[in-house]
Amino acid sequence: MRPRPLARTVLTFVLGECALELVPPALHVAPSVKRRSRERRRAPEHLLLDQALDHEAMAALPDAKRRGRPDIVHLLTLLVQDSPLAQRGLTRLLWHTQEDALVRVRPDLRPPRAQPTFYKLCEDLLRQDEVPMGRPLLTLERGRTLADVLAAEARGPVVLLAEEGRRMRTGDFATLAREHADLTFVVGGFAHGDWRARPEADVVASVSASPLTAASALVPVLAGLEDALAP
Amino acid sequence: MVPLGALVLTLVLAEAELELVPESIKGHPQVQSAARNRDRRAARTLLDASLHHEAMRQLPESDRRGRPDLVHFSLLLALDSALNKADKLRVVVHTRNDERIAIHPDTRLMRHYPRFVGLMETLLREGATPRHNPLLVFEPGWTLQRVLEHHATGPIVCFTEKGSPIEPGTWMEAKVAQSPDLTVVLGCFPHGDFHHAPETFANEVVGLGGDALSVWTVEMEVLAHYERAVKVFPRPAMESSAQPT
Repeated sequence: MRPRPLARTVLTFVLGECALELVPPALHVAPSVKRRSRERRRAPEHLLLDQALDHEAMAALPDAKRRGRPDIVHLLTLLVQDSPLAQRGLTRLLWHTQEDALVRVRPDLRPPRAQPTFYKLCEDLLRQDEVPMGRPLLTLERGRTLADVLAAEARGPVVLLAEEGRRMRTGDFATLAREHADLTFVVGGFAHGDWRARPEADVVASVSASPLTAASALVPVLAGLEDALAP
Repeated sequence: MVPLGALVLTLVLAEAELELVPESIKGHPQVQSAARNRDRRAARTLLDASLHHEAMRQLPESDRRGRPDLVHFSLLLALDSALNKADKLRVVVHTRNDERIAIHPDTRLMRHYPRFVGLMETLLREGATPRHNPLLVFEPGWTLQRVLEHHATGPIVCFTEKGSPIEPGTWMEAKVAQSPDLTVVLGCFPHGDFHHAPETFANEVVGLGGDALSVWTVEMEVLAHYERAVKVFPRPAMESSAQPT
């Protein structure tokens, strides 16, 4: 094992093309949206698109199956930010949305456990580009494609998690972490279908014989990295 | 029951902070208001610290109760896992009030938290859901000891903050070499200790060292290392260990 100072290690996690957006104008008058707007006393354009609630209305949207899944972002963020790696300041989490926005998650963010609170935080973020205002824990930059994000932000080899990749298990990720000071992992933040623009990667890794959610796909990755980098 | 030697990890989410609003606070204005917003009777709603924090101050152990969100995420992570998809995982929830929720491995849990809460409220009231061919079954009168007697496969290991520190990869390899079946007990509460000393119900009490960790962080380590140790996802013979190109 090659010894190296921990402070130099940066593990970047990119949730790519994630299904996080506000309700699009075409759905502002949909019954599910109007009802939610009334109940939450928020304008329709200030609500998150949510497939669990807007399923019927979303049928009219292009690419409907890939959109409206803020729950994916929530679970993955909880998993990464609560990990011992994050607690030791070794991780960086970025969300890239299907609308080509980049969200930087401050490493010390302790994500709200309650899903409704997390969704409200995301709604505020998508409206005002930072939350909380002034000392933001989440900041949003518009007009950043995934390729652009990876070109600018990736540190070390880029590992893309995808079904058709090379089979890798916990120990393989530990090996990668021992061989490279920095690593970048990209996982899809959408529930169905393929990448709109598949990112370039040094390694395409598959962690299961069946499709997994983004959070579950990261389970062997985080465990392997923790194995290699535990103090 | 799963036959011995079937390579199964049994995950017990113990002392889960999942309960209906206790009688003593059902009349509290905050509880009444939250119930009214959902068009439900207060006594039929789940206790939820994110909604009932003021009212909960009157309850003993108020700082750890009312956390259905911990159960929700822990179950999603377990049921979505590669291990569960390979039919190598059984999950059971034991609640703070000594109730048991048995979960069929094919359950597809709703991801929307308010709907999960609605599902749990129905389950706690009716005892099973869906009514025909239930995937979730709720029963009172199940102490953790009884849950373990009924569900445990192989040795019982409890993970706690105060357990003997282990390096999970090598520990799991050794454990699975002794017995491929394993039962892991995780405390499904935000902080504090088990109500009964883990040594009284577990063969081994271990921890990951360092700071207090979320239940899903420990669950993630357990799932990943068991999956690796029992080779749930074998690499094809032609493929070597992956290296970056």
